[in-house]
Amino acid sequence: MKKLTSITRFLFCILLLISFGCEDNYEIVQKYSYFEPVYTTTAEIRASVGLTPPQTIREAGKIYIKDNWLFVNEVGKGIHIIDNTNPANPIIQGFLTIPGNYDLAVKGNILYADSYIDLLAIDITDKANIKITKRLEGIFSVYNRMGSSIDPVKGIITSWEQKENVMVTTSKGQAKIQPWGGFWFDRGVAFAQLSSVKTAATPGNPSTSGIGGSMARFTIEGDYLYMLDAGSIHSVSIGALNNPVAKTKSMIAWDIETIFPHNGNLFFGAQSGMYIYGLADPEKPNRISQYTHVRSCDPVVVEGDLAYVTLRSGTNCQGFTNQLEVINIKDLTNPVLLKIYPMTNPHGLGIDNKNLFVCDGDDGLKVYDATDHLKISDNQLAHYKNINTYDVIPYQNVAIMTGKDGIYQYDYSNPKDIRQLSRLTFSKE
Amino acid sequence: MRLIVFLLIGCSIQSAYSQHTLDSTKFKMHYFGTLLSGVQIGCSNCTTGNQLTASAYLINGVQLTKGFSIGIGIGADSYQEWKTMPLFLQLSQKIAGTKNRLLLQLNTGYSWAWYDRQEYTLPNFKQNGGLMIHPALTYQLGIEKWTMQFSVGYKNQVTSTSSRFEYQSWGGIVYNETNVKNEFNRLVLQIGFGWR
Repeated sequence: MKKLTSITRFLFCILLLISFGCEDNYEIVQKYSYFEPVYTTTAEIRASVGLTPPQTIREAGKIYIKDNWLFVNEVGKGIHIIDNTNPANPIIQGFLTIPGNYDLAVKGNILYADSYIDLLAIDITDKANIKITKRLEGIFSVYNRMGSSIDPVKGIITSWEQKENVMVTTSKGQAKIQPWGGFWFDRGVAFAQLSSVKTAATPGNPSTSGIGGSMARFTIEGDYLYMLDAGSIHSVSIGALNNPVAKTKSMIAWDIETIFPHNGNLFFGAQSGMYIYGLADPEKPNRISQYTHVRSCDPVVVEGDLAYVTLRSGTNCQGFTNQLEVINIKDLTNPVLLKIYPMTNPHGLGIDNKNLFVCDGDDGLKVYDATDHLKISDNQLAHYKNINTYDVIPYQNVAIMTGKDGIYQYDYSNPKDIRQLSRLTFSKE
Repeated sequence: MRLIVFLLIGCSIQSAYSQHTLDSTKFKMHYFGTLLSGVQIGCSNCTTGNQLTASAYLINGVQLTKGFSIGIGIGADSYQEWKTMPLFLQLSQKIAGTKNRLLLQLNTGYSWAWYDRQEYTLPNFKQNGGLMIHPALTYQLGIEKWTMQFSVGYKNQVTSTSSRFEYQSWGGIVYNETNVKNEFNRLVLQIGFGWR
């Protein structure tokens, strides 16, 4: 009888166990950081444009030469105006505050600069009394808007503030790990890749326009200003220099990075290749051909029938290729790769009268005689090491190069005896 | 879980108190081994019903007194995507019977764990085991060289994963760190045999 009682209780316990059920529990602790947008109203941004006393350069972006003046973009903040009459002794004359400025181009006495979503035309005839002559409001729909739309009340995103958050979730069942890592955001935005913010400026017609670098997103050709806006190009008529008029916007390629004008054509550097566009109708560039290469960052410059393209790898550039390519563009409809030269991590480049300057990242500035384009590496003229180099403009025997720590100028009137003229050091504060 | 453990203990103690028949023969401390295998019943998503997964133990130990034994066990358990290998201590107390005995057992230890969804190549992914607690009632047939055992118990097993990845956002590098702690609760039914 006792045995029976024991078994009965045993079975009773089992039944109780089953009735409780055996469901799993889980707890997810998710810790993440994100950048919360900081907005500034468009009214505030537009009111803050103006000339201020000279400032030290902290983070140089694009550079642009016009006559004896050197314009250096302070990334996102404005433009340093430098008197470069004597390249051995450049003098900073003032700072033009332009919030959200990354690109510039100059024609005549008008400086064209972006300010987040706007394009400004600024009269720089009197460097001490600079005036805005026109503002094309909201012309940039994507570029420099950091992937966000404008909030009609808050304004434009002008910076980002880092935040951290912890979320704890507990529930019944088993937590299934998501292939994408299971990150959830309750607010804020984050993007997988940072598009190239620190890009550049380009040569135009030297007789009336200034000269920019190989990594430009603005360029002037004839009476038109061309500006990249993410994967699209804007054409803006500047027939009346102080009164730019937006004409068209057309798609080039989503991965477009730089623009370079040559002989009435536009050469676009994209991560996937080089695009050649004609300007038969200057308001609406038409595609002539495309040269495809491995995915990487690739500024392009052109001289004569040859295009020089550098490919580099890196965080935003993808790929594993670091090289200089020489491409025959005699037949614009059929660009042909002629030669590849290995490089370390080439960024911007410039060419003037067969003197080829390559900013090879941490490997410094390399100068080549490109007379024989098939033997460029055999004809190195100079190699300035121990400088992190970004972009270079060789023009009228003076090469102006931006690096991480300063602006260097070199006299290459005698290519076999290239001399450093000056170095404008950046502030490290 | 705690409620169930207390319930088991309570039932067992009451059964033990009701046992008056004790074996009076002389006891000699001896080695024993047990091999058990069976099923674990429970659900990750109970709306689709219970799932059955496998469980197996190999235990070696010492019968210290007529009623009490201690052993070390190693096991292999499955919880759908998770597989665990527990290394545990077994405490066993007779609560009823002489020739055929009812035992109250507690198996507890640490389990190593593997999550078998490795096609998810999460960055810095780590999988961790955790504490296993498995109280059980076992009915043992025979006390001689060979025994048959039928066991029913309730198992609580903890596992966890962590992953961290960093990526570029507009403002700079940001990170996302996810720590997931799973607690599996299973009804465990096992059958096996023992030897000495």
